[in-house]
Amino acid sequence: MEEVRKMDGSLQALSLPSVFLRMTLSVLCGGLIGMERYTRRRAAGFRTHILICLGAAGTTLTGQYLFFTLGQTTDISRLGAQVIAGVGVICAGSIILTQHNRVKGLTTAAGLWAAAIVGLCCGAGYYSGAVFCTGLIMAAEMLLIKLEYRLRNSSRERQLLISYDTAEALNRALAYLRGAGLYIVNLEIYNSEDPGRPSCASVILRMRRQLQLNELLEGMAAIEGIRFAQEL
Amino acid sequence: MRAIIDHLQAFNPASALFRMILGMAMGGTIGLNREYKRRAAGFRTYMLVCLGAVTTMLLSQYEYYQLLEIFPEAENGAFTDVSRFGAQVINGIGFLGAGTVIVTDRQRVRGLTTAAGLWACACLGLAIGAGFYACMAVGFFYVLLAIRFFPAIERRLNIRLRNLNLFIELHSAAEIGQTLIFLREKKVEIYDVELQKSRQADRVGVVLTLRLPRGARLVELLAGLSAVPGVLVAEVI
Repeated sequence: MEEVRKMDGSLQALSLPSVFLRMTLSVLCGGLIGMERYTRRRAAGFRTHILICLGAAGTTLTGQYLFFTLGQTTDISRLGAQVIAGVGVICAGSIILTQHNRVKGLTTAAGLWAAAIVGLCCGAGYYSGAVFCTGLIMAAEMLLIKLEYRLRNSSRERQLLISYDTAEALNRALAYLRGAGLYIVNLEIYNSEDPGRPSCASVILRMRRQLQLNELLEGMAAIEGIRFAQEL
Repeated sequence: MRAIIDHLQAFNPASALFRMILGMAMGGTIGLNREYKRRAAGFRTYMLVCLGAVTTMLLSQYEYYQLLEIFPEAENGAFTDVSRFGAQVINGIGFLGAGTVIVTDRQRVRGLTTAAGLWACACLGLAIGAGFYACMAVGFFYVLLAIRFFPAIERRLNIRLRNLNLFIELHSAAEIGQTLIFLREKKVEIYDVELQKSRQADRVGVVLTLRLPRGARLVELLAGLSAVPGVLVAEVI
């Protein structure tokens, strides 16, 4: 890190090589974070992260240029400070609210925002901070996502999809679930307009520990008027 | 030559005009590349955003020198902060960019790269306005690289990706059973299933978050899906 610092030269200079080094680092860091998001097919990919990271690096560089090179009265962190708010707004646009009032894309938005902060560090010449932060963002995205899925899978709330012919059949199925001592958290019904087609209900259950989901599904499928019951 | 460069680095009418034109040229070039792809923000959008950012920075410098002229003794007194105007550009263009982001009814986010590009352009516009040409040159190079040449990398990466989001449309939610059975048979991991009501009364949309098994071909999977009874639309989003 000390060598990079020497290579960067004095802060006052902000010479072309130093600007090049900072911006290149911001492209690399942004690209790395973006690449991971892209492989998971999230909304903000490779290029979005690079552009945000690069733009952020440009602001801290400009702030330093105004103060160190032009010697004007300024607060060198003022330009950079607005990045934190401005990128937050762009990220907010990428958050999806689904019909079921579920929020999607929040992690991607947070990652994009964090990439902007990495860009700020790069532009300011705080290389170690930028590299450490990128490494930790990558670790959070790549390792902890697995933990999150595991936690979710071990959650006691399960979503079932039940396909049935008549409302009575659904009632029988729900009675069966209650009979098994399960708590129904949420029930959503998709009625088919066409009488020939089966209707469908999505049920969120709170499972009991002793109960096997497969047995429960088999038991439900045996109920008269139920086409199938599946875990979603 | 040296004299000209020094002149352009200083703050005077000639350098102000030069910076404005430079900003417009940079924004226009980046915008042209977006215009090719028929994106929402084209040629003139980028040009105007860039010109605005350059002028903001010029304005704050003008005020700074104006104050120095009137109160020369207050050279170190903080009458104004030259980056105060520019800072708000960064925030403001964030809002402008957020307006270009669209969430479609298939839960697809579009226009995020446009927003990011517009925002990065505004940041570089500030650097130009301050006369920080080195920053502009390097930044312009990378923005162009990202917008023009990186899509090819994304496309190449696309083929090998195992995660995907799939949108399917069915006549009724009950028909999703067959789809799920088909996917489980193909050893596709299903992370998330989200049912959503469609605008058309007799249709239901489903957004699936999937992970393909090693060596699986997406095209084959889609072909198989289209044969599943009840599936009307299957689309990767």
